[in-house]
Amino acid sequence: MVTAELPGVRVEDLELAIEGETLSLQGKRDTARGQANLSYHRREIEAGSFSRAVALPVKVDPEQGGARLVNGILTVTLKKASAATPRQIIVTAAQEG
Amino acid sequence: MSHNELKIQEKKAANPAGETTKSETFFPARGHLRVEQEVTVIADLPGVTPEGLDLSLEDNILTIQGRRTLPAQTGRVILEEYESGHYLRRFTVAETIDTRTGSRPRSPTACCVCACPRSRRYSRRIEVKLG
Repeated sequence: MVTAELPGVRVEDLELAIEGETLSLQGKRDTARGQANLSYHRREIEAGSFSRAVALPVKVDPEQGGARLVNGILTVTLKKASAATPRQIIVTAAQEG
Repeated sequence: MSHNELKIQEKKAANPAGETTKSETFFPARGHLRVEQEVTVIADLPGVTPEGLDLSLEDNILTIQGRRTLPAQTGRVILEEYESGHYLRRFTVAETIDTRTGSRPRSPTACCVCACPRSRRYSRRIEVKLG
C-alpha cells in the first residue's frame, strides 16, 4: 500500500502507472481554476505539476489493485505478483521400504 | 500541464497553546486571495474530513484547526517520507473584513475556504459545510 498527501489535486488531474517494480505518480494542482480577476495577498500554497516514481519492494500484479483519493490522501493498493508471494511447500516423507 | 514543478514542502510543527495531544500538530500551508468583494482563505489540510475541521473567528483572529483520524497500522512500514498529525493555524484578519458572513469549504479535497465581504469586528464560530 502506498499513500501520498495530495491536497487540492483533482482525480482527473492525477495519473498513476506501474511499470515493472516502479509506481509512477504524475499530476498537477491548479489552485486558481476558474477564478478570474483575483489577486493574492499572501501565497504559501504552490500550484504546478509534480511527478514521482516510487520503487516498490516486490513485484506487483499490474492488473490487480486500485487507488482512492479521499480528503486529499491518495491510497494505492497493489497486490503482490504471484511469483513474489511466499508459497508454503509441504514436505512429505517417503515411506522407506 | 503547468510548467511549474512543485517541490516537496516540509511540514512545520505547531505548538498548540493550552492543549495536550499525543499526536504531532502542524501548520497547514495557506494562502488568501481577493476576488471582487470577497477575501478567500485556502489551507492545505490533507486527511481532514469536514467533521474534523474547526473554524473560529474571535477578535479578528481566524483559527483553523483540523483533526485527523489516522488509519490503523495494518502492516510494516517500509518507507515513511511524511509525518501525519493534526493541523493548527491562527492569523489576524484585517479589521476591514466583515466577519459576520459565511464560510464554505471548497473542492472535494481537504481545502477550506472562508469568504468574507468587508466591514467590522465580530466573534463567531464558523460552520463547515461540504462543498
